[in-house]
Amino acid sequence: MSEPPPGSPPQRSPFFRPGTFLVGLLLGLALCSLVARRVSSQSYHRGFTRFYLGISPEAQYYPTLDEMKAIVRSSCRPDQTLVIVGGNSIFNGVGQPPGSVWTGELQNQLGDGYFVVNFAFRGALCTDGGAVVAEALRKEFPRQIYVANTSPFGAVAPYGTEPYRYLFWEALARGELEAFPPRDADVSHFRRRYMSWGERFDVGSRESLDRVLRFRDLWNWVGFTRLFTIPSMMTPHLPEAIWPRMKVADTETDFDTIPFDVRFRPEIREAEMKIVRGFSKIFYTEGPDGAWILRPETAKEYGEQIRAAFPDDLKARTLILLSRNSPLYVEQLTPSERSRDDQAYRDAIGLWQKAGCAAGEYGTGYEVLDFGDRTHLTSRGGQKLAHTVADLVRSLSDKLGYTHRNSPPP
Amino acid sequence: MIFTTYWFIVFSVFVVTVYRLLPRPAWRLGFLGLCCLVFHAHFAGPAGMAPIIVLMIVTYFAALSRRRGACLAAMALSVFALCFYKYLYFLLAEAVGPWAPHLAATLANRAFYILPGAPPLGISFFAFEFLHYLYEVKNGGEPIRNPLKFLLFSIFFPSLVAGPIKRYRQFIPALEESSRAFDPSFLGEGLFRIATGFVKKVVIADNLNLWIDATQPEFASLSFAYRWIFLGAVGARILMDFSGYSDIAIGVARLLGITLPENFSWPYLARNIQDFWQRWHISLSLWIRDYVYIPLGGNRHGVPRRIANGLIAFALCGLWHGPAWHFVAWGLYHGLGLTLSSGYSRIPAIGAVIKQVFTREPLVALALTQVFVLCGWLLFFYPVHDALQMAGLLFGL
Amino acid sequence: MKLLDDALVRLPTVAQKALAHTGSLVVGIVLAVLLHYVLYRIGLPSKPFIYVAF
Repeated sequence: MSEPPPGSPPQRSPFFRPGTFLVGLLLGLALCSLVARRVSSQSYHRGFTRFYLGISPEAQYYPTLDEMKAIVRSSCRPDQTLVIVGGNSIFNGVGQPPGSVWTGELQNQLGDGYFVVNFAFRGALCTDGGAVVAEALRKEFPRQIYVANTSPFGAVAPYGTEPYRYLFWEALARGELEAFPPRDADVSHFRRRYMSWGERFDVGSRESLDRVLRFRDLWNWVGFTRLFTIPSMMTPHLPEAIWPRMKVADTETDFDTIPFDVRFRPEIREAEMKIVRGFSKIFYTEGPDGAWILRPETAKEYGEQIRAAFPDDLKARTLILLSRNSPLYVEQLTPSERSRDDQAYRDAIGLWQKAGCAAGEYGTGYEVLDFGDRTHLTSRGGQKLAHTVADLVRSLSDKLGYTHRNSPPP
Repeated sequence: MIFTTYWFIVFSVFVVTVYRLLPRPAWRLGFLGLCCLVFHAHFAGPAGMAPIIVLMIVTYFAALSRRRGACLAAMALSVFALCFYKYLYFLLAEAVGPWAPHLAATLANRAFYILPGAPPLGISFFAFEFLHYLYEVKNGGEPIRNPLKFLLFSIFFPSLVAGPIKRYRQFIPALEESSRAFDPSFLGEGLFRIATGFVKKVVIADNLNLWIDATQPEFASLSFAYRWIFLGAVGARILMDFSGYSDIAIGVARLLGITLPENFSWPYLARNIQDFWQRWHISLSLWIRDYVYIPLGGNRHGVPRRIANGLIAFALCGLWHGPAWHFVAWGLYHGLGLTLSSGYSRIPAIGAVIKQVFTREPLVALALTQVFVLCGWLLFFYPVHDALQMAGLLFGL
Repeated sequence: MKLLDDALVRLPTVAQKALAHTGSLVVGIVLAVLLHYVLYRIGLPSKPFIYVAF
């Protein structure tokens, strides 16, 4: 009968002092936590424009709540109205190069009385990213407006979507969100229904540990300023993989440099046309007089989602913009389809307004060259968007009683 | 994955702290047993615990009976469970499918409703540990009479997920010793080992993983040097990943005062294949030697039988890693390598030259061995056809 | 480690104690920084361990 050689326990070193070692361990953790708090109290994003690909979750960079708050604190003066832009890739400015992002023009339009910051993320919901920051900064920057885009009857989960949901959990764990029963009920339902006990424990542990140790803040700062330690599909190869992320430039494609025929190839147009043709179909029935009637269950469900999306006082200072599709596609719709879509926009805007938000749309009257694809805007289209949003922001600002110095006349 | 969760870290801190604070050995063992059950239930789910609990009960009583027939039946049950949960679809597709495709499809369909989504947690490890235990008891070894100690041997949480494969004759005394006494230096040793494991797993292996996944589709268009760098990264990744996990397991056990067997010993410093298998996944290679190769006859029945036994043992070793032919191919590749490395001196004309190289030129021996091992990883990770293509590109073919 | 231990035992007792405590403290701090980083990394999405069927 054979036995492997027994693994004999290693000899005890006379130079290991367990007590001192534990002191060192606790001291090290405390030091890391202190350094994290120090570095995250100031913004290290010089000349921040937006969270482009290199500094977004697609590239394994997950901006923290403190990081985003620091960006605001470093640049927004107390006399300015803070305008936080949220939403998805359209509002992030995908297709607009760094110098031509629409939020830059929005800032120009609004003038020095406002400070505009772009916290939109690719694939995010209107409840992600910027919305969480807006709520977390409500006491520090009470004069604020939150602007985000969505599509009619698009998802409005209060807990956001992946990979941005971590910001919601972070804000929730730190007590930075208001208690709001409709949202709290939605979040509880989501946790019970869609998260296993292990996942809930892990999220809770992560947030509890991070609240004390601030590991995300510290290693984000290291990754942004010193050395990035996680290769991603965006930067899989050396040496780019380990460059500090501040060295990774915003290389967003400029739609205007891509030939029209490439952006709107026949196979793309066909696929996109199907989406455009079908998006409002499932929500409507046709009445006897040809009018389009929103299904009651859709109105109810969507209304409830909107109601739970933000607390009421955030809704009061929220402006939701519904994104229209490119006229290249819209013009191919039949009159009946166009009429249905128009009704969808009116009804969706109505539901947001009923819930207490300001709401509008953009894209009507835009030209084909204002769009880089079905939904994203070129720099030219971004300029138009900025004008539209600036008017609506000023209007909301007046309604909320914010007064400004140094604002250019509308 | 299990070790790199917050739950595991919090759980381990809790278990180690309470284990050390409890005043009596019996309480410590009872608490540890309870924690092992909680660990298993958390990751496997209550339904996922059924196979191990059934096998535990059967194995425990079969060993206590000390009857050869009972031990053999329990061993057969462990093998059946392993084949059923891990290899059923593979066996249906490869053994039944070619002869009766309709029957294979029907059975696979039925199996879909019976089998869980993934094999029971740690089945490859606990099945092997039960087989080892029953084999030793069948051959005269003393069974574990204390049910709590047997439970701890069966589902000891640090080693349950990814080894090392334990031997009960080392584990039980270590367990008993840990419940009685604690040397504070274990704390430092254990934490240092865990830290090493996390560096290997989280910092090195996970990073290499992303790079390898991003680079592999472009392998054919890489430069010659870059392809070899890629191969090196593949080899580094699996070592860091697996040995990192083993380090964490050994480190956590050390915090409890228990010594688990070492699993890796600088395998990429091996100068021949025999040496490699004494350094790589040591607990598995020893298990294969003791419970497959030697029972088959080992080297006691002449050269052809020795070669056949070696190939069978390595084929099974490969298959143990996963239900796919490329794992078997990898095992056979190493089996062939081992056969050659133990018999090349008999090859006419060049045998003596090769022997000179391997004995007198350690760097050359190291390089040749590691090229062999690294190329083998292509078979391990990729389908056979893709692996052969990549190997061809590595050598400019 | 053994070489280090053998070298260090030749030092005077006071020096040994000081070095022992300093060394243990430094190792503790280093491991703390590592643990801090690991807590950050395991919160990010990562590929599962290769042996998923174990």
